[in-house]
Amino acid sequence: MKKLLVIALAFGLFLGGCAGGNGGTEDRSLIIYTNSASDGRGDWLTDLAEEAGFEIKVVHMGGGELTNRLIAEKNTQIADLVWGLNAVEYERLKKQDLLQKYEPTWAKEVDMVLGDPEGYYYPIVVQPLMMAYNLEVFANEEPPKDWTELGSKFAGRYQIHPLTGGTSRSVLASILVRYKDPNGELGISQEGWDVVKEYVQNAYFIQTNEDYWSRVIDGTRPMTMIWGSGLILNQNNLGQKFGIMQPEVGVPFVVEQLAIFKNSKKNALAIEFINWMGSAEIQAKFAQEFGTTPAHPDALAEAPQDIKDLMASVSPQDIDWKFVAENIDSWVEKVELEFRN
Amino acid sequence: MNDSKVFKYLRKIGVFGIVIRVFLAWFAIAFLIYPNVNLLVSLFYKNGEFSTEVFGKVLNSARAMRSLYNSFILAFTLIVTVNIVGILLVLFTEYFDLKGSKILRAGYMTTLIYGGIVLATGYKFVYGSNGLLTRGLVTIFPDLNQNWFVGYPAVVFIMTFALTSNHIIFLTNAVRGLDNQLIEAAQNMGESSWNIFRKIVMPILKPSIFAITILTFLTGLGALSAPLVVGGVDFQTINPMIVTFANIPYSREIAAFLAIILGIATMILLAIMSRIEKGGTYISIAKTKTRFVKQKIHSKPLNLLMHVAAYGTWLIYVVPIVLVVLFSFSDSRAILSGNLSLDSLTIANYQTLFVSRRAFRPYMVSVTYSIAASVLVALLAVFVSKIIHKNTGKFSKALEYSMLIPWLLPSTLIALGLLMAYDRPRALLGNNALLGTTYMLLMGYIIIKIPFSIRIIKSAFFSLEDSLEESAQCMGASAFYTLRRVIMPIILPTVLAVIVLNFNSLLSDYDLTVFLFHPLYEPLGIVIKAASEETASLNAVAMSFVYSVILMIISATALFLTQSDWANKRRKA
Repeated sequence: MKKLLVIALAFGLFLGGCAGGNGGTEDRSLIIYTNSASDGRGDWLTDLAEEAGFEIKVVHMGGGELTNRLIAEKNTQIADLVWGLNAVEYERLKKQDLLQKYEPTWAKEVDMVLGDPEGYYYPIVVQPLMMAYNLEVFANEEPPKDWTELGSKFAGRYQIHPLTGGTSRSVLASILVRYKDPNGELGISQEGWDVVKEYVQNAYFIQTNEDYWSRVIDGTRPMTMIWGSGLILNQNNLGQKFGIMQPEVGVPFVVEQLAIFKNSKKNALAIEFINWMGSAEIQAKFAQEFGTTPAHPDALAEAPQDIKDLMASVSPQDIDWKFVAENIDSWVEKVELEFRN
Repeated sequence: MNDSKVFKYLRKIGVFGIVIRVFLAWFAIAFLIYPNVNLLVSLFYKNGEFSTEVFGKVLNSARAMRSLYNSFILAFTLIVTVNIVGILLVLFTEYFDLKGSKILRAGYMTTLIYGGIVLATGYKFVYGSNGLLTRGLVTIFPDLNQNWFVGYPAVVFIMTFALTSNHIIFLTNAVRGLDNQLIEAAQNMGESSWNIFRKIVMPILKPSIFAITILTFLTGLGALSAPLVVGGVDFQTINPMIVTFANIPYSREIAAFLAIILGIATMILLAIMSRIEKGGTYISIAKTKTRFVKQKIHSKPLNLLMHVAAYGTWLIYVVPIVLVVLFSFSDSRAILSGNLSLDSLTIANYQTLFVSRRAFRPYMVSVTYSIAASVLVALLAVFVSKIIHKNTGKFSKALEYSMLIPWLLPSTLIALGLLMAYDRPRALLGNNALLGTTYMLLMGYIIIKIPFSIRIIKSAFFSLEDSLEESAQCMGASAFYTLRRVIMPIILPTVLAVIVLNFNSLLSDYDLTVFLFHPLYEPLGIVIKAASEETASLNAVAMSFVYSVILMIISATALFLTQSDWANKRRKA
């Protein structure tokens, strides 16, 4: 017992000792919060940034938790910049008055339809969200055209991800925004809620650790919701090409962004880092290494061919993300409580 | 209480006793009551008035009501099934003299080193639509529905076997503490084995079984992974909903409301249990205990039956974990489909773990935090248990109930409460803030482990004989000396077991950790989550298995160091 107590005390000293320090000449260190450092991306970027003279600490956590934590830390700013997330989450941060307006050197080179018109966050990586389907199954049958007709025409045959994840939430938003109605419940007309109810109740919700691609291939449930990089990875891995549903309005694009914080003391250094990280050169390297779709057109030109093909075949749906950000939580709550079986 | 009584009381507990009580009262107010009450008030009071909207939302949701109902059904079912299986396991390994009991025990202990989604998926490898057993059955009965392992029975099956950890540890300790003279006396008086078990053994084991039953009930109510993996459409429970809503700022009041409903049910059960526990506790009165000798089964057919049952159960435990280890050497597609081909196994998954020079740090961070938190919480639990054991005063009642608060709330909300309370300097902490320090996570870990630790260690105090303590006091020993030199050695096995169980569960925690960890000290749970996110990599599922196997190794080592015969011998030497 005594030994254990000693260990516990030693731990306290260890933490106390480590918390201080960090002297030296010029402080080039930055703390970056992100939800996209997985699969070795964080380490890769840290090494590359070191060569470029930045000492970055990449802190990874899940998307929902990331925003919640940033908001909880608003009285004690720890992060210097944030990388990843999507427009909905950034609008939430903006509403809490956490973000600092800025302009990176590459701002004029990217399509700012993907970014923030007010200039708080700038796009780096694009992820189209789609419904992929088995081409053989739909060889003699008309494939689905839009999310809005899935519920009525393809009941039980399409798989969607749980609404806990960003993908499924964004798709839900992309359906609901079409039925905007200031007098409707939560800003949506009754028609919109009817469509969503049908869409949710006739969908198959993918369960944890479930082999949903096999269901697409064997035709039991020949359609699945999927994000761009996931589709490409699985097409290569399964050696099979899938069809993509092409709604007339386009598909929702989730866009990873870069932003800095009002209360960080290192804004100048953070902007310098963002100028470097978002540049066509680094984004192209990133795309080649991890198969992501860069928002920067010059970087996209150097991306692998299948990514270019995919991006050529889909167009972004025009979505008012500010409206979505204000309402998505209450929409998801309504769907979770009232519509799900 | 008049002045002289107060004075008497203070003299009885001594300076050390006063210091400890003041410390505990401060701790309870600063870390258990203030942050959580503050959070709940902020959730339910909107614009200066109490919001009742949440009641309507929840009561009108068919899904929420059905999930709540399912959770209660599950919890009550598990109280019965887990106790039956758990008590049987302990009978197999400790009470009856069976061949190979050490191997049996090792198999039954596997639930101590893995759990959650990976455990549930392991069971699916055996019973799922592509599982070993299902395929075997299909060759015999071609008409069998391959998706038979789904819904309520599947969830109950998995959880029954997964939740016996507490029996294996704490009931085992209790059986080993049985006084053999009692049993011999009964045998000499011609009592049957069944009557000895029922009338003598069971009453002695009662405090342990009570404590374990409460924990089982709670785990059943809070079921998360098993329903997610095999619950299907028909049997979803409430906790996945609570977790979902706790993560949506807009819906947090729903999460809190649902959690409070579960909490009230738990409190009612606790109150009933405490009453029964206080009423008829039987304590062995032997002054010189003799070591318990395992019971031989004399009837041959019965003996055979016992062996078959013991090894059959052993297989249920061992096959899933063996498959989990094997599958960790394959890719994610093999895991998802359940098709294992032995020639495609590779160590590539494991190689990716340690290529980076930063790879080892999270292990160090998590091991250090987990050890520190589990030792500190065990110490705290010993002091609290000492005060509340046989003490019915207002202070000890208040102390006991405030220590149970973390059971009421999901860990996300506990984390948010802490963040909200200590994101700036507060007088309660001597004008310090916790946010941004390394102590934030340590406090979080301690807080979530308090109820479990206290519940178990409190039950260990029932096995103490008053006479020991009294004689120490008569000889002039102070309360602290008695605690240290008389009580501690007797309850040490239980305390160590609590430490190791807490250590194992904190190692890979994510829900609480993600909100509280210091950016420069990234714990393992964060790394594991990043590696097993499906949006990031094709091989995400395989990586969750790989990490799970690595955690198994760390946890098994921790268990070996505290629970094995080798460790027991060293401690006695």
